[in-house]
Amino acid sequence: MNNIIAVENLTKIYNGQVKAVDNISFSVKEGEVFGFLGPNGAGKTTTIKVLTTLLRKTSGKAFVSSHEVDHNPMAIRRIIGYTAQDIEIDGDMTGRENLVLAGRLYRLPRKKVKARTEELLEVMGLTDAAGRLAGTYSGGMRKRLDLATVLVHEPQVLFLDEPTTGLDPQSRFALWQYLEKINKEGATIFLTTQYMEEADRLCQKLAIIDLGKIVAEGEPKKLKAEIGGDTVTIEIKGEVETAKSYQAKARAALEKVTDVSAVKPLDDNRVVLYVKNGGLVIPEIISLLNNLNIPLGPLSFSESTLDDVFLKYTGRELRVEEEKRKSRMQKIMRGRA
Amino acid sequence: MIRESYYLFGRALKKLARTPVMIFFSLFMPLLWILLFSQLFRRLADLPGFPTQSYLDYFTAGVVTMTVLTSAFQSGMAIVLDIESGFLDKLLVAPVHRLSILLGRLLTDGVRIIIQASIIIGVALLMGAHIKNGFLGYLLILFIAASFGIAWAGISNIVAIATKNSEVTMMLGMLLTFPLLFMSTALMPLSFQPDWMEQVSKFNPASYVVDGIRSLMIANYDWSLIGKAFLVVGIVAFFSLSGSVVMLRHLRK
Repeated sequence: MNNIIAVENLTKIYNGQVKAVDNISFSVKEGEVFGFLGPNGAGKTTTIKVLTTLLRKTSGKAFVSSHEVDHNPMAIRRIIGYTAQDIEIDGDMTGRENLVLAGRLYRLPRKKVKARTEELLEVMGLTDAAGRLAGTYSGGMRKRLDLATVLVHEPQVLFLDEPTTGLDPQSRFALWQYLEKINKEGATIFLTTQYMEEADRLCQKLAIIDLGKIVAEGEPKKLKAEIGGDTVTIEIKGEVETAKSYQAKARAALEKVTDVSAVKPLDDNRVVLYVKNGGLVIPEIISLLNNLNIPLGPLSFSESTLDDVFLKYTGRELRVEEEKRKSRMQKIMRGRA
Repeated sequence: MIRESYYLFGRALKKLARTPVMIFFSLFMPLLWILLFSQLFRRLADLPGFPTQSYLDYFTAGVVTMTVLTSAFQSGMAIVLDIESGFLDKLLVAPVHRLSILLGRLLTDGVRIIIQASIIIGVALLMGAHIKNGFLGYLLILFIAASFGIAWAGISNIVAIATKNSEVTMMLGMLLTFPLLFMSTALMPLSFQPDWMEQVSKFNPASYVVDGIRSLMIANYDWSLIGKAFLVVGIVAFFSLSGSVVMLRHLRK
């Protein structure tokens, strides 16, 4: 497959001072869903604005469908669709008028504009509200309309800057399904996100960007495999004092197992292992600990998440605030149950 | 390019039709002027050397030009709104020529100005003013007014894109309009003005527009005055429109 986006040594410096993007290179294959994952201020939006011809780069090269962004922006504009982080619709026009105008600006034939408009209104669940001024829409509806306006002309390459930020879980899920559908139909999608779950579900390839640099790149699976692939947590039975000594003993023993990439103590009576192939290693681990006469409690086993990947490469959690709030919420919910 | 301009013209026109109050917003001052100043200064026409018998006949062209100036200076507000709502970005990533983005907006300003100028002229006629060249003269007046309005609105758009600030855009319009009117032939013939002001008036584009419009009201077709008005409109339009396009391109830092 061909590269539909190619970025070589791209650097963007604002006002000669702020280096938002620092010499990055990557490529996206035709038909791929490519995700840019990173915290606020990492350089995601800057990169997307250079690729969508909204910003002039400071140095380097960037191609979309073999057109250089600064040399032939018009050719790029014809084949791309772009939604910004903020919603960009005209609130003084109805939902339908927003879509019709978009279709006309991309020079679609009149009939096609009409057909695409009605189709997208249907897909986005906006048919009933189509005749109302977009300014009266709820946040979720506005976001869906915004997205619909860039899909009217069936872009070959879709650039989505944090498409689901601010959407409720239901709309988010519906949007994912729709993006998967148009990707299957051939559209290349370049998206930025702060959500691991989103990157994990949608993206065939990821780049993790932090402070203007790409710190890791690859398939989500591969990235997770690099830090171990699976996470195994073992609990040790017994009194705190004895458990603690067993914990140290277990750690020393487990570090020598071939497929274990790291062992970390958790609390006073648990051990966390990052392993390559949890399912196969677990029996070995259990027999090893049994031979050492360590009394075992419950054992849990899960696939490593992209959160673990992000933490490893940047030393920070991606969405600390959000995660904290979530876990607090979960505690409250559990308390109720 | 023409097609896109037309679609964006349609959009802006639809928006204008939905908030017709925009038409009356900038009409308030000119209406006040034509109602009050034409009375306050009516005896000026008695002065020896004044070009008309009735001050109203003289003054109407000035107020029409004032309407054009105030109205045109509102134009940039719309582009600031489009910048704020992000809609401009949407247009900028679409395969649309930058001039189309401007023309769609400016043509609507032209329509607004035609409506406003007709209202002002209508009021003047009700008050007893005459248009010597009749209906054709009237149409030509509207044409000069609209084309000058479009040219002048370009300046407002340059300021709007440069500052991205609706207050600054609005204030600049207000600050510039009155000096431009006072130092032109809108209220007083050149020969009645102090020397230094006369020199300023000669270089004030508003003077030429006022003279062109006025000639259509009080004289038989004076093609040299009408021609000068169009020449000045053309020059202003060239600089303000190309300036606006450059500014729009510059948005892409």
